[in-house]
Amino acid sequence: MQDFALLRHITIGQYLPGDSFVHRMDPRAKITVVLLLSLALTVNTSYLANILLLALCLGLIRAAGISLRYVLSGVRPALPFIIALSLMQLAFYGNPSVTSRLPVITFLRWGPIFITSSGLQLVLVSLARFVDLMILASILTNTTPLAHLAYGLEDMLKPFGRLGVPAQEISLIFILALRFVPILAEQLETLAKAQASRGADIGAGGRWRFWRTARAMLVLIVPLFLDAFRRAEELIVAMEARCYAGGRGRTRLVQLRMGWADGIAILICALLAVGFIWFRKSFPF
Amino acid sequence: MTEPLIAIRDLHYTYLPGTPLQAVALRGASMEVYAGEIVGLIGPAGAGKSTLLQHCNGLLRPTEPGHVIVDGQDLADPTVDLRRLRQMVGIVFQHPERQLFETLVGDDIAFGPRQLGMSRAEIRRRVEWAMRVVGLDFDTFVDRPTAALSGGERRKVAIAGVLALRPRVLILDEASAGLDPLTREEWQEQVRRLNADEGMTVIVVSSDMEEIAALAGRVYVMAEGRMVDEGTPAEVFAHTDLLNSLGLGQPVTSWVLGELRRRGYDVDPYAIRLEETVEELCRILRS
Repeated sequence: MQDFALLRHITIGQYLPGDSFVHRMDPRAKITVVLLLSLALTVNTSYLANILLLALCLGLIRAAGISLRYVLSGVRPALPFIIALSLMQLAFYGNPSVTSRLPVITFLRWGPIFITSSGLQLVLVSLARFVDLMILASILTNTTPLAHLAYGLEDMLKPFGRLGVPAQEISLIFILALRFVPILAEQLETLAKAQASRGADIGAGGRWRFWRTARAMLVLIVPLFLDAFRRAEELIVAMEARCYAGGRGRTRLVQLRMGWADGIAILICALLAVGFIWFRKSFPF
Repeated sequence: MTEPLIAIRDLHYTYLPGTPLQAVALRGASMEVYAGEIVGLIGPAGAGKSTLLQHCNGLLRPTEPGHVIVDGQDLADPTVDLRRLRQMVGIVFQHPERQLFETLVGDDIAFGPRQLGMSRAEIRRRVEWAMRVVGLDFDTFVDRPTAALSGGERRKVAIAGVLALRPRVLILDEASAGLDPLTREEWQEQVRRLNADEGMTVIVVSSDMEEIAALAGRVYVMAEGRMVDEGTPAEVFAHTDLLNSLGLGQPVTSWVLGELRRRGYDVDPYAIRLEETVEELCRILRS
């Protein structure tokens, strides 16, 4: 059954009000923690390290009081692509290039198809990483209001201001981009309903029939882009009308404050990240 | 008594159930629409009007208790032919001009009939008919690029795109919002003609009470996901307290008649059509 509401249902970037420790953390601390853990994630290829990191991410979700099902429901639309990619990786990428201490077993070698245990490991580890990154991105955006996130980013970029990095502008672009996601998603839902009402085949192709789905998408993409341009132009006028003149000398409504708990959280995650990166080759499997 | 063309019984609906963002939109709404009528639907923002109407052509499906029966078919049945249903019940949304995607006017209007696999001659006939109904001259406009049209013309094209499917029921969900007064009058005349000449059943959602009073034969008032009032426009608009508590207001004629009665003049509070109100005013002025 087609469900138009799902088009609007994007889990990453959706702030869910709450009062957990993670919600109360300073956005700068949260961004640092997420960066550190993402770094640790991307350099570890062993099963054990990834299991540990996955467990850590699940623990963070618990601490943030978000439901795991909610976070994972955001993966659902991308599932066909993930599966297709994984299958291709498994079938053609048997090269034992993954640094694993396990012996490489060749399962199948037939023409271009080359399946080995190391290829399998690569696929499984990639999947785990994908889920981990989804979780980290969700935790960051689900527990932090957009404005706070942008202010945090701006503060963290400020030191680079001397090198000519326009911190305020970058954070403004960031906040605008994220703010447009739900607006465009809602517009997409409305368009899908309008086009379906006049006979378009939206959703009728089913999740697995890419070609029909892609063709049906055309009647959505064109008006969606036109609408995005229209909104962007309106935004320019609105900003001009309010005398927006760049970041120089702007003050804020929200003052961010780092507490000792934020410091401890950063310290723990930094130690963990360094440990995972330092010992990445020492995991037994 | 004849069967209603659309019958909605005790319908409940929740958006994104089971997520932190769930929102209850309908709490037992019921509505009946008979073939050939024009039904008005009014209610404050968030009352669930759009949610209710999107059930009528299967954009939303009943998932909780409640029934939507269109032309004798229960839409809770997963085997319902959505294509046939959507051809029968057409919805024009707010700002329909934003849904155009083809380069040329004619192609955009022909989209629906083409999807249904009709012959070229039939498609042409329908496009011509739809353009005539919305007041666009076929020869002048059919090969114009949609990008070169004014906002009002684009809206006409979008509405023609829905009409080209020749639906039996036309749902106008705030479709006239933002039209200038002259265009609005023209538009109301077109809706009335569609209803009278083509026998099209029409459901109008509008925040413009004058429009509801001018078009509808029967009005439903909705609030917080259910119906709170129903009747002829004259009856519904006489319930001043209810309308005020919902922040809806009345048509000017209804307000004038109510105010005159409050001040002790003997006028008919149900004479809310402009000509009738004028008659009433003349009568008390003469006496």
